[in-house]
Amino acid sequence: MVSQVAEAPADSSAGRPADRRAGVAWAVRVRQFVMATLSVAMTLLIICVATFGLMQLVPGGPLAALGGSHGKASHQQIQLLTHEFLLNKPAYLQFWAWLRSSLQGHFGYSLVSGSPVAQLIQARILPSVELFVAIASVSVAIAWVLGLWLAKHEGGWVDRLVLSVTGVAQGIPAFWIGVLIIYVLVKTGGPSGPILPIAGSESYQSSGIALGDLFSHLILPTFVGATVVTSYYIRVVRDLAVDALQDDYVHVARAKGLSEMRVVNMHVGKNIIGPLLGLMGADLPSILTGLVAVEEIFSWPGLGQLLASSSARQDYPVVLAITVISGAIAIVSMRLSRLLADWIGTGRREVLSARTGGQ
Amino acid sequence: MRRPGPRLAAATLEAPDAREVLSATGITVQFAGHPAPVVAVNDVSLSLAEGRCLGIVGQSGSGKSALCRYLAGLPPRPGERRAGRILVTGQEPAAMRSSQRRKFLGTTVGLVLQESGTGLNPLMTCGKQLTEHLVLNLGLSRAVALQQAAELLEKLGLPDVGRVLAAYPLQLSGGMRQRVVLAIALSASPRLLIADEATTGLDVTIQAQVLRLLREQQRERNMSLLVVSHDLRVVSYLADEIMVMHSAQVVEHGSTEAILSAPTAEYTSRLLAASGLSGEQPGLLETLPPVATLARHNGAAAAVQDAPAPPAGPVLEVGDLAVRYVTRAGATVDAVAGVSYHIAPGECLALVGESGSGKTSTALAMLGLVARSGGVIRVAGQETGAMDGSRLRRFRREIHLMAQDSRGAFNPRWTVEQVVTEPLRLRGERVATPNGWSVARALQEVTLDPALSSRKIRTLSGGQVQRVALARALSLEPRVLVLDEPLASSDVIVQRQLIDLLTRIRIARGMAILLISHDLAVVQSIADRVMVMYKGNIVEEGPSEAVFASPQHDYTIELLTSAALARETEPDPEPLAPAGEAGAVS
Amino acid sequence: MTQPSALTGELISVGGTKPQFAAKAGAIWLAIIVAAAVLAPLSPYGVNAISVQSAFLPVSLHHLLGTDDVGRDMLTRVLYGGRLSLLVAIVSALVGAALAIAVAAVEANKNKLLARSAQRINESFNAFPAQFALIVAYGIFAFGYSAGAGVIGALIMGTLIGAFSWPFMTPIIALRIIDFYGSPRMNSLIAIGAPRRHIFFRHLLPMVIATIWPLLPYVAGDALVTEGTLSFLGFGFQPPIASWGTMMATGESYIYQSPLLIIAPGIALAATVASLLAIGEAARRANS
Repeated sequence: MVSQVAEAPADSSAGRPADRRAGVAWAVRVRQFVMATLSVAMTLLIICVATFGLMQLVPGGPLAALGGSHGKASHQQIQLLTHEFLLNKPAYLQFWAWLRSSLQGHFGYSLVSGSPVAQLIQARILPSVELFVAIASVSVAIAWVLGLWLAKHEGGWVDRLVLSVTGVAQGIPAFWIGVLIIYVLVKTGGPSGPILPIAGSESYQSSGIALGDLFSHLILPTFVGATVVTSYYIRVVRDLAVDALQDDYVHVARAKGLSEMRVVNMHVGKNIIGPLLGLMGADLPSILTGLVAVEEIFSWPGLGQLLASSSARQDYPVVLAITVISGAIAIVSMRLSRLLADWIGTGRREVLSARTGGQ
Repeated sequence: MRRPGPRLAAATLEAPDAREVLSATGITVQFAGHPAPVVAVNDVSLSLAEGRCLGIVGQSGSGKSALCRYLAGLPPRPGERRAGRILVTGQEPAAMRSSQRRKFLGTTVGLVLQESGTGLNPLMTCGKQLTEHLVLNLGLSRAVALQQAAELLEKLGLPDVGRVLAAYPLQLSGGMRQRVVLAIALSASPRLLIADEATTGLDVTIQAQVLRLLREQQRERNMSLLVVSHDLRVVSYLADEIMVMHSAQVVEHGSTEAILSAPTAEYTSRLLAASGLSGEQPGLLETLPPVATLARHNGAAAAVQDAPAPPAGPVLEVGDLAVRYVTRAGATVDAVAGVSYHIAPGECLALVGESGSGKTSTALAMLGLVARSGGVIRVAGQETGAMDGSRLRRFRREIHLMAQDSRGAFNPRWTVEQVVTEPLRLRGERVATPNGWSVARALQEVTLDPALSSRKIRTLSGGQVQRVALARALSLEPRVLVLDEPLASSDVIVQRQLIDLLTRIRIARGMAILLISHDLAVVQSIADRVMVMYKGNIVEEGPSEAVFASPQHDYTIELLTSAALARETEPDPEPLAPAGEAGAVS
Repeated sequence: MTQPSALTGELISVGGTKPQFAAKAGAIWLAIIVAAAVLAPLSPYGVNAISVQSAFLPVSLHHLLGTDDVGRDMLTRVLYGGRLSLLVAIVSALVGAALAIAVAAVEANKNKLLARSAQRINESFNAFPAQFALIVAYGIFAFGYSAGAGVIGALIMGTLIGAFSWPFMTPIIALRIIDFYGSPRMNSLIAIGAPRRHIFFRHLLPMVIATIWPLLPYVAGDALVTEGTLSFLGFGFQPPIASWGTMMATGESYIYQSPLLIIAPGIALAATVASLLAIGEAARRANS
């Protein structure tokens, strides 16, 4: 029959969905990969240029921004820095020198302590990663379960209640919640102190690696950091699922006699995880910067706290290094999450293009 | 879910001797609304015996889908309230425990929905979707279930079954997807199949295939079929009995023959006439204002006409028009491969073909809205390639395109008056011109109430927006009106009215029409000449009567037989004749 | 939300028909807080009127929100703080909108090289940790933040926050512009022979503005939180200038004397941000 066109070559008609295995040739894939890599590199370069621009604006100029003007810096050290970073040469050469040494992990010296910036940062990475992973996993787990449940019970009183609560909660500054929680715990804690640790990542008495100790220290910072993020993602998951539940395949799946559990988790869940991942990747930079206030409040020895304390002392080498590193992390994770979302949602994307494209 | 106690059946038809598979009494569905709840289904009762087919027909929005969802045991939407009693094979699902109900309905009732692109989960292979419920609910092994699915798909005439099972839905064409949906519905060997607009949105040839399959399967399995559609032709092809729904209520119920030959409800007669299924032509033409009031206002119009056109020659000539797209993968596609045609003043030429055949590209390229890769276009003997900005703009007013999607063509926040007067304001003309043009008269000409002029576009119905688009187009006094699927989105009664309106305006104004459509019924009733387009080429061309009476090309024949399928079982030998005559009256 | 019924052609309401309670409540709160901030000078107390003997007074008829560590009336300071914080929010929304539209126009350009460069810039700003950059910026603009009793500071800070707030809006606008070309709307305009000027000013620009305005409450809300966080951490306004951020910073120091010092500005901030988000969500829904 004339109408069975699916066997035709992939691109025979504009906008007609086609076989992706036969359709996308390897050459096209390789080209796409190269283009994607190039565009990430371009973006990173722009971030580096912007950071370098900030260095020029810092009081004291690039020399200060690399740690050459702290009290202990000798004449010899300044000369060494000038030589190493070509500070007496034109700006584009300086940029090149800075970029090259940054790529090797050399960001200059702290203005306050005089030690290499890379060392300071290295010591702070692990606590920040711990806190980030805790916040991210708690928020995603709660948002996923609660969001799907709310979507299934759209319009019910629980739905309305959670929507109101999260609507307010997503606008509260995290540090404010943190400060008030510490206040309440201290006030109610009695003579033996608050029931949960309110500062740092480990107890003074502890020795070696104590997981229990780490967890008890993690609870409050995680709670505070996750409140805002979770409130937002509960709404996101709920809205995505409410939309997906309108789709016909949900009716078909129910009519087949599948359980609600399976309809929601397998059919709906599969279709919203892609868009959700894409959104989370895009939000990553703001989640990262949100860590600063949380770490500061709870004296969590992470990068955020280092950033805050270094900024307060105008320790620019540290601040700039953290800025450019987190920018790089953000861009790479954004791209990866989008890639993952695309990979999961290939079918979905083709629906969209089939709807908008073609005749 | 709120269920009142059992109540008396309002109007159950007497079931024949066979067993009753579905019985529903007092079905009422309401949606929460502002200020009052909206009643989608009002006290509907029906019953369906084994092996029989009941059709429900009604306009979109008449509550058919809400009824289907309820009958199929799908949970209510937020804000949906239901009442009534449903028995399936004598058992009451509402009285069962939820897991029991789920399994019972899942194996007893199958559901086929409109091919919308979301009928199948886009992220699951067809094989998985065909088998998961068999594995979970019937305890089959995956291999056995897959084997069964493959056999079923083969029976439904799908080629290369292994590939289909491994494919994701969007790697298949719309027709193949709809057959997979049908296979899912049939996979648990249901006693009852509910088909809600199962063929709507499919091309006419595929629609015919799916309809044939539905009938075959129903007879082979001695299954009951509840077929629901806005299209009376589809319903009458399948159904033994028909229920006509209008404004949430059943207005008529009877055997298919009785409904088609002697409708009692006024709405049914209108529906029949509009679908081209009745001998009598209701007084649609008479309900419109007299032609005299539509006499074209002259002045500016006369000036346009005086200018270059030799009145006898074609108003528009297109020679060897070609459009070539380059896909993202780098391949070139000839959407239009060298098409030539011409239109005389006052003539109606139709361009027919399925979606993807290049009809729309032809129109867009002719107007310069997409780049053409070759060809010549002459308006009244003048070549458009040589035109510069302002003359090109004037050319576009003379050959005016009315878009497929009228609603998308306007700012939904603008008022009708703003939309209709925009072209004239652009020309710097006063809105009430000396020669008597006014918004009110323009709206009257397209049979719209002049009081609508202050309404916002988004508050109008689809049919009304189309008329606004027409009024706006006519204000420019075009010589050729290009209509791209003007009727695709409206239901039959609105279609009929618009066809009549277009015909009258064409005759009154001496304006030519280029009609692009996939709907042969529409084309036959309005066009003087027909061109059939297939894969970028015009495969057949000729006077309307000739093409429809003795088609030459295989593809034309297939198109015509597919469209005629719905009339196979129908008593009236020449069902479309009245409509055709209406188009030819002049 | 309303849409015409296919049944009758008349208006009926469908779907989420409940009046958008959150958005209405938000609009009322926003109106109150803006009016009160504007009218703050009518307060019987000066914003910086220190009287040490009336420090940490509890809530009373004279001081509806009590007094702070140096005896200043808290309600007066919350309202004055609102002036600066809201000014920062408004400026950043306007700057963000202007930048978003400008970059989107380049991204929608037919010139592939220009469009791609704009996309890369967009992506880098999206990934750039804005708050870190603003902390660095404090080192550069510290002096400016205190200028003009904070008003000039608010303009500077609003501009800086706005300079990092646009990237998420740009792709949305660019897509709308690209979609517009080749849309039925554009075709119908070409069909009536509309000149470019008409298409741009009467159709494209209103559409872009209609697209961007539902996003601006989000930008403004975000700017409020950013101002609060920066000032709280010490990288924004400095006491004695009253902004919600500086008041919370002061409040933290005296939390054991009077928790109201941090609670009052915090609630003002949280309620305003929640109102903005609710309005934004309602507008976005009405628009889609």
